[in-house]
Amino acid sequence: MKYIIMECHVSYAVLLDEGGRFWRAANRQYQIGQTVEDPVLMKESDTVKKMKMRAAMGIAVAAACFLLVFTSYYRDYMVMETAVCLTINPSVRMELNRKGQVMNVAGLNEDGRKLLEGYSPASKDRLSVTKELIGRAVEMGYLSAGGMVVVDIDAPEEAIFQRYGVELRKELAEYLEDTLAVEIQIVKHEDETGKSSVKPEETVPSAPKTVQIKKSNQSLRCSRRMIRCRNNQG
Amino acid sequence: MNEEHVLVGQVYEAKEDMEAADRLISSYLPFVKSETAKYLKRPLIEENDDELSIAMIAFHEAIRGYAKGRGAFLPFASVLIKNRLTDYMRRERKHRGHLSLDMPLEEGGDTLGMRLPGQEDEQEACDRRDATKSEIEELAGQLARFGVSFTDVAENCPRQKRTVCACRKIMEYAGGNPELLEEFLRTGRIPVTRLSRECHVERKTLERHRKYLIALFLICTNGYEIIRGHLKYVLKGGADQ
Repeated sequence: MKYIIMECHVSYAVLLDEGGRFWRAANRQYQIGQTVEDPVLMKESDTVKKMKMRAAMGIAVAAACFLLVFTSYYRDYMVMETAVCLTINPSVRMELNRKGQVMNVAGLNEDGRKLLEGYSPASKDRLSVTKELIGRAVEMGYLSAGGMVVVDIDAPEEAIFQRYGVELRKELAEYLEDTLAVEIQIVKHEDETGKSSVKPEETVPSAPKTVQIKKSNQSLRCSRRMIRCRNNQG
Repeated sequence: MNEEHVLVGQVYEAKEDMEAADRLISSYLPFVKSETAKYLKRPLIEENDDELSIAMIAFHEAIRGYAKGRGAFLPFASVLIKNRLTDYMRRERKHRGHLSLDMPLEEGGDTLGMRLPGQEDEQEACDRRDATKSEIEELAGQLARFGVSFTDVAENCPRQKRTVCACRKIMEYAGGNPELLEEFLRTGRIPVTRLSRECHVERKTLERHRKYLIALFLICTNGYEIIRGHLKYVLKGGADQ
């Protein structure tokens, strides 16, 4: 490839190659108009390349952060972790996310569907929804004194089952204390084969004495506590 | 510390202004020479040392590539000079054992190139160089009307094969449409819309390489036979070499 020297500076010369491209090269005592064949071309500054690389890196980091945040959010808020079935007799199933918030409620029988008519659990926690559903059941005449509420918890871990069981029993007991005397049963969910979906854990937090947990199919009723609440008027 | 601050200011000015770059390089010529001599482990013979030219262009590259985050300028330039000289030495090693046409055959006598048959004689080469020089000077004058220098053109010249091909397509089209060149000379504007439509080249590409295209358009106009002769392969629509 031949080059014509187009411009000479102290440190470099501008050359035109036969392909119509202009180059900067080391000025080896060149003269304008001279034709050379073996110039030492200047290496193009990699600033643009680096800027592009940095931009790409920035986008990649931002995408990774977004993915991390989204994955975490998705796992915590958008994936069902636990299902809680309330059986009064209207049967209702609540789906909870990892944070214990109610994602969805569905009636499991005709009365359950009636109970949920016009009800939305949007942005409510499990305790509020449970109390509201019990309240609606009382109002609609499904639950009265001497009745029974079975809370079936399908949790992935024993610890979660224990925690939710304790919480729900305590809250319901407090909620119904002054209105109705009902029996509350907290049971661990088991599938058709009789297997619990709860993975046994080495360290299970001990439940307070006020909570009774029952394994339904095995008839292992740990304890039963009748909550008899005095009616202020009665 | 203050001196370094001043130098960094000069470097940043030299990035934008070629005259400032020349001034800075001239004032730091002793530094460049000393770095080169240190690398070569011998004193420089200024007239003949290609290494000094390499070191100077490396210094120029250091100016263009320097950023404040890269530490002090002179150590940065020193590293770049050494790297460039190493590259040059490696390249030269490949040609070791080859004779240079400019090498004198005897003390004060003719060079090898002068003795070889079929070589252009000195007078002819000198005439040709002068003719080329006058064309280049005329072209430089025309470019100056557009506020463009050859350095600007070199900086604006596309490097990507696809863009080079697009520019050649435009040049070919301009060569075949003299009225387009006349319009360009009359108005001083590149008809971007027409070229983009006719050559199927993105408008953005034309705008991005405007200075380069100005130089090519001027070369396509009458009066630059030697330069056009140099580019004949491209003007005939040849592929990239």
